Amino acid sequence: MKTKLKYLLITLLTIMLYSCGETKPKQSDFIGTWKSSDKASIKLNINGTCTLKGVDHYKISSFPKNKNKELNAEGTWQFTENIESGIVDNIDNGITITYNLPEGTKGEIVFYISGQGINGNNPPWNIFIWEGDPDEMLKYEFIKNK
Amino acid sequence: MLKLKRENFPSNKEITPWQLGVEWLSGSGPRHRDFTNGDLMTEMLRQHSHVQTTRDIILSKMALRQSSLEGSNSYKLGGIKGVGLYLKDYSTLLTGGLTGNLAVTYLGSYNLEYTAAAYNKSVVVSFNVENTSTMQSASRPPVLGYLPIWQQTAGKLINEKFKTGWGLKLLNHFTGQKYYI
Repeated sequence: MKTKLKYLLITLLTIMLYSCGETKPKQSDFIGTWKSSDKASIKLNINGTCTLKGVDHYKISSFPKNKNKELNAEGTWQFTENIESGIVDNIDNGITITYNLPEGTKGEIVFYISGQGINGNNPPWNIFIWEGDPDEMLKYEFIKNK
Repeated sequence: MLKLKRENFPSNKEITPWQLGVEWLSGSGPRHRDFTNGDLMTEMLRQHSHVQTTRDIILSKMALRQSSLEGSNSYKLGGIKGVGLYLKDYSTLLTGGLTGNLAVTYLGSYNLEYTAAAYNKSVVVSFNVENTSTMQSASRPPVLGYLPIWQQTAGKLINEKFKTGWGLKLLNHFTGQKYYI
């Protein structure tokens, strides 16, 4: 009985925390320059174009040829729906970046959105991808330049 | 003595998800395995619906006269959609492998990265999958375990507790190539 009550309380608490007041991310929140701790930057322009500078290519695409390589490229970006980061935060939007490499390769990165607070679903927003196994919850994260 | 013990470990070619699970939990065997084309685990993973969906996405993009591609498509058991996937993947344990994919039951979430290149009217797809087995990922409850607060508290404590001995982190790395005409 005690155990059942404990689980009921945990479930109720989770629902309460989950439904706390939140602000949904919108496209205009992401226009600007984003920086990571390794000094890489991503500039998302209002016209849908973008510039990637010094992005760790191996973290984006872990093939041996990308080891210790920086990704510097021009491309386009979109604010996309139905993106599931794998965290229970009620955010289902993401940023999809399509970039072009000199040898004609087209690349795609889907960035997830995370926020502040106990549920990580309040602005200011950050964008990130998982580094390796998503279960490890290690992020390659970009924070907006103020 | 140590050499004899090493020889007893199943090779990457033949090791099953069950054996990998025992190896991880007991702390015996290598802490890093590299799987490739033809290995049992790779071939089981290749049958997973997420891998099949990713293959379809790649081929449809390449059909638009793209010469080469790079991208990723992670498989995640977290989030709201993850609950259904979680139940499906773990149903294998009740049905003895008749439902779901036993390799994925062991792996859980994984990061699938790919490159694709057009070559002589066919497409060559190279894939790279990274997965780690840790006590935090194995003991994480659905929904609650994927809240940011779990990761910062209970999850962190669990990983600290299992830094050595049984349940120690095991890295599984899959690479390979496949040709499609």
